[in-house]
Amino acid sequence: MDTPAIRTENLTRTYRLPRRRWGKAPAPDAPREFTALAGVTLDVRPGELFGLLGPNGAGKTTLIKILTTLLAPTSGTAEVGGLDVVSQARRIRPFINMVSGGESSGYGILNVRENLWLFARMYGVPTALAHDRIDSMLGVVGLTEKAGSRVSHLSTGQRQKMNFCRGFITDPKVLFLDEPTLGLDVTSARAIRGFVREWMKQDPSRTLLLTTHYMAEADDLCDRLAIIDQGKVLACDTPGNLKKRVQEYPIFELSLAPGSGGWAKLGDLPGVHQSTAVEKPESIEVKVALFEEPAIGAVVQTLATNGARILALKKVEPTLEDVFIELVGHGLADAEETTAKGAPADA
Amino acid sequence: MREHLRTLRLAAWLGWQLETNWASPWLFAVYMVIKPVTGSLMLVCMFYAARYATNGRVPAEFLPYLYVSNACFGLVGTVTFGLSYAVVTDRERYRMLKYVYLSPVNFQTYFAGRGLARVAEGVVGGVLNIAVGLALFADMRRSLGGAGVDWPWLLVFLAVGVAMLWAAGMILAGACLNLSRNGMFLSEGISGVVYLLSGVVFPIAVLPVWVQWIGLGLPTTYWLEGMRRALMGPVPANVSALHGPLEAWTNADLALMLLATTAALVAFALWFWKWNERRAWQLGRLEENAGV
Ligand SMILES: Nc1ncnc2c1ncn2[C@@H]1O[C@H](COP(=O)(O)OP(=O)(O)OP(=O)(O)O)[C@@H](O)[C@H]1O
Ligand SMILES: [Mg+2]
Repeated sequence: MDTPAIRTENLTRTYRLPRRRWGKAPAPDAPREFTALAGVTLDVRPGELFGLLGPNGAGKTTLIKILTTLLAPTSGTAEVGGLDVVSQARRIRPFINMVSGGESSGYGILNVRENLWLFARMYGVPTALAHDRIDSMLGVVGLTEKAGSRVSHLSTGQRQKMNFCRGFITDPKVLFLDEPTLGLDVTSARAIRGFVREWMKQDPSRTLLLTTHYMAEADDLCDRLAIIDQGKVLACDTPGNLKKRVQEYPIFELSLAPGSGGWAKLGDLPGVHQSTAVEKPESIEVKVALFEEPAIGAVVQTLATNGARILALKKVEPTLEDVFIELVGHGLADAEETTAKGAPADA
Repeated sequence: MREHLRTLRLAAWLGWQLETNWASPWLFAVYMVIKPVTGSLMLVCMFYAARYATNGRVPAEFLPYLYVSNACFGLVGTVTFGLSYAVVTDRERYRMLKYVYLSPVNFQTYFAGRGLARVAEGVVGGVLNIAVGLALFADMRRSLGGAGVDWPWLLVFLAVGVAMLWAAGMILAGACLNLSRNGMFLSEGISGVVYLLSGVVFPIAVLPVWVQWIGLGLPTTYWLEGMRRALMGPVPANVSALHGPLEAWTNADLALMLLATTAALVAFALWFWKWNERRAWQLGRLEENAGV
């Protein structure tokens, strides 16, 4: 078997909390420590695009910091490319890189090209190759005409795009992206997602660990996902399998013209698990849960033979958000929407 | 080794860009020339005031003494303070410290390069400062022109001195890794103490004996003495006011002592930096933004 690209075992990280500040009495019941990671065990294979999902403060960034040798683990082990992040950090660094979104880093006085060149050179990329890569990456994020601009003159999103380029120009084997599309406009975020997918395809030995708060992004990009909350992995699987967990039965929604018949008997069909209907003045909304997807054929046929007119038919997929809500107990969106979906709002 | 050299070059290039590529060349000129020169001129005024008040009993040699040591001392501030500043700004302003840290470059070598940029800046500043002094004051021309510059010794003292300043800078910058932005004030404070104790504007002989001993423990004391001698020759025998405890030392003695103290300082700096680096890694300070 291949060496896992990333492996953690029972990884924990606690932060010591300052108990007192000068001139302020210490709070008597203030906790001494905060556990950001509480025994994380993960295995990411080479070639995988692996996602980390979790609410704010779940420990995603902490995990990335440990894996990129920026932060010491408190206990447990973490390996990147089969090398230990504590004792072999130096050997890990040449083949990893990291980009964290939502921050405006960069040497303001240098221009975009100089900033990127500097980092490419730090990784030993020859100047000519570095410039080629810089050109192509700037093209990807649409920053080509800003190549000669001072970083201090860039917008926040443009800085973030430059930072994104910095992650790729060193051609890492294992790349960590911490919310890479945070705060980017829709088109740019899509271009970046497209590029990430392409980049992974180009070389099957590349591995990418991504955190995001955009469910669609995670669903769209990731081969596998771990959902973490309060420093623990709650689930780890492909997006498809995760979604299957929250919904055993495929669900279809049908809109029927008023006066249509046959819908009342749908629940008796052999392939149908459950059927519900709501009569509205302009339509009849039917929802059927099937044991197996092909049973939808029988449903449509029954309706047709009973003279029903189908206005619309669509399969309603459970989304990752449903999974997230189920596992974490609350959504990433605002509480109102969460309540509407039936999850406890105050969890 | 090749990687270290590359890192050194890149970091020095970056440092130099950050230092010199100022928004306005005027501001840069103020920083590079006007600030150090006005500092020196202030000392010159004090010298003339003292000379006037004592009816000329302050020897003329005092002026080049303090002017040259002060110009050399500029390098101490530039390098040591500059390294602390590099740590703090890379982390908090540019937010690049973590990206440098997780790159394959050796963290210490990177800061050695950043220090080199500061050395270059300090040397340029010092030379300009002395040049202004030479242009303005006959006493300066007499001292520096008299014995002539002893280039070999100057190179020796400059080379060892640079290592010494880098080590001192790394000690302070190492502390800054774990001290947030306030750490920079530490550098300033210590720089002030060193200014007082290593005989910059007066021979340390005027200090109480026990304080002199502290001064004699500082490599900067030997370095400044060496730099002065290399630039102006030894203090003339008849100017007793400028004689200090190092009077009888030969240049070789001074250089050896400087080398020994520097070696100790470098060893300590290397260890202390590593210790701080590890601690910052443990506490998560490499990318922490103190927000103060
Ligand atoms: N230096 C620190 N000292 C104390 N606590 C910290 C420190 N850094 C992080 N934490 C805590 O650790 C927890 C995990 O933080 P982390 O940044 O890993 O979360 P995250 O999953 O990345 O969240 P987000 O989605 O908001 O980015 C948080 O509750 C945070 O308050
Ligand atoms: Mg985070």
